[in-house]
Amino acid sequence: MKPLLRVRGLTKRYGARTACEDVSFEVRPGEVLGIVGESGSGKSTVLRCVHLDTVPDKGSVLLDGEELTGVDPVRRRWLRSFRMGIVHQDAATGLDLNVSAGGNIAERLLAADWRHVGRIRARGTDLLGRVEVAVDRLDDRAAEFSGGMRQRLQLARAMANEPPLLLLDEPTSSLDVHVQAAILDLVKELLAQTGVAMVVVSHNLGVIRLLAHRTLVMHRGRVVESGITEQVLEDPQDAYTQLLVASSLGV
Amino acid sequence: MLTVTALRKTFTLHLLGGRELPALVDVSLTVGPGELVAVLGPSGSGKSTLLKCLARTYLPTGGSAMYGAVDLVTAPDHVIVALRATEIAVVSQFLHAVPRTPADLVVAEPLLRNGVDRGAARAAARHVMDRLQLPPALHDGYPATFSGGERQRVNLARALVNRPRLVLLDEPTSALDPATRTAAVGLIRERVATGAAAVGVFHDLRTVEELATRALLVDRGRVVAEGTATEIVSLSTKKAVAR
Repeated sequence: MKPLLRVRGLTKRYGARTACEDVSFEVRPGEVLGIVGESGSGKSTVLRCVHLDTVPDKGSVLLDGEELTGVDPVRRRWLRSFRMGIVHQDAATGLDLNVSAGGNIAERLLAADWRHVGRIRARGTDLLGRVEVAVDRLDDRAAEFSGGMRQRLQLARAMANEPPLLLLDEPTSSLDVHVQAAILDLVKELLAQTGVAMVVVSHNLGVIRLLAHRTLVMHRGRVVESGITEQVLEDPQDAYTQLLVASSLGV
Repeated sequence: MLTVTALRKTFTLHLLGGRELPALVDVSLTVGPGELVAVLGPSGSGKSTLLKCLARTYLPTGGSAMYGAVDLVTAPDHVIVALRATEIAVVSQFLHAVPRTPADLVVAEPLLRNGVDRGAARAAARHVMDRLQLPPALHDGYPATFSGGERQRVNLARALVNRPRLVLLDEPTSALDPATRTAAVGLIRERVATGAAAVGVFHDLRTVEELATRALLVDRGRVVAEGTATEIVSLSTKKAVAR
């Protein structure tokens, strides 16, 4: 199958500091790619480049053959509405907490030129159902939602226009363990139902083991290892990955 | 169906100053449809490493493992992922239980991933679990809370539910009691008889004699003997006594 996302030689510097250097990978439809590494390894920078939050200094990001680096603001907005969705670690980044759950979802639909209020509400209700949030919470402000519910709402919002690519940036890192498990479950379920491609960034090897088919390991801005997830965790080749796996509890 | 030639695996332990541990030195074998090749040998001889190299859970250091036209040693990661999702099944000794996913869905997952509808996949999953004598009361229970033997049967059911073409079995019956072991042996034998190829490591010689169409004896990462299950079982017993 042809790759949906193809990243080549991605490099991003902030002044003298290199956030990521020469990062390349591909993701096929229905595939989950994990990116692991500690804070500052560059994994979130890679995600920000793909999501067009920042422009790389070098390299290329191709989504379905279209070069994404350097697109104009109108195209950027369209791509971020229809071609990709994102879930942030901190829900306040991905949601407007002062707006209702329905309003947060509607914002994405309005960007996609939905105009009919009844249809927008119906779609919002449907999406909340898919992320297992009681539909009577549609008019509650996101600020009144628990941490786990906010992540569900971010997922609903990210999927509103059924993009082929979902980007998950530490989607469960701020949650209690049992809520984490429920969210991971939901992500797996959505994956099985929709065949969407995902890039999951996490420092948690347990999350990566559960979700990712293949995994990249980043260290100091570079990819030091990549392989099928099980192999990266059970037979890590690189010295840094061996340390990372040896230092983790129960994965 | 599978032709392994001069397979080699050396672990490099960077945390121990780059110490090298040779686990497989030279392993060759072939398995055709309808065959189950049992791998025997003392602990530490490389049996599990061999299975893990074939599954690409471990990255082999050299040699080849031709599965049809695909070399499992060098094939791109996404090809291995796709094969393992469709036709190569791995039964490890332990199940990595997915939290909060009921047993029938864990078992049905390979079918769901291949587009079988939910109802049919769940029914097929329950049927295989019945065959392995997992009580219906456990079908919608969470494997994370199951006993070792129950988990092992969930694992086996998941691996065999979509009729894989190549089955890699790493002590699939080690935690089973006599009755459930017999049920597991029956199901594995049926899958092999209907055309699957299998390579297996078993903790007891009786299972080897019941299942294996051929056997290999490995020692220190090399194949030292090849023959019928009975021949190799007897040889391995003698070797164990000689030690």
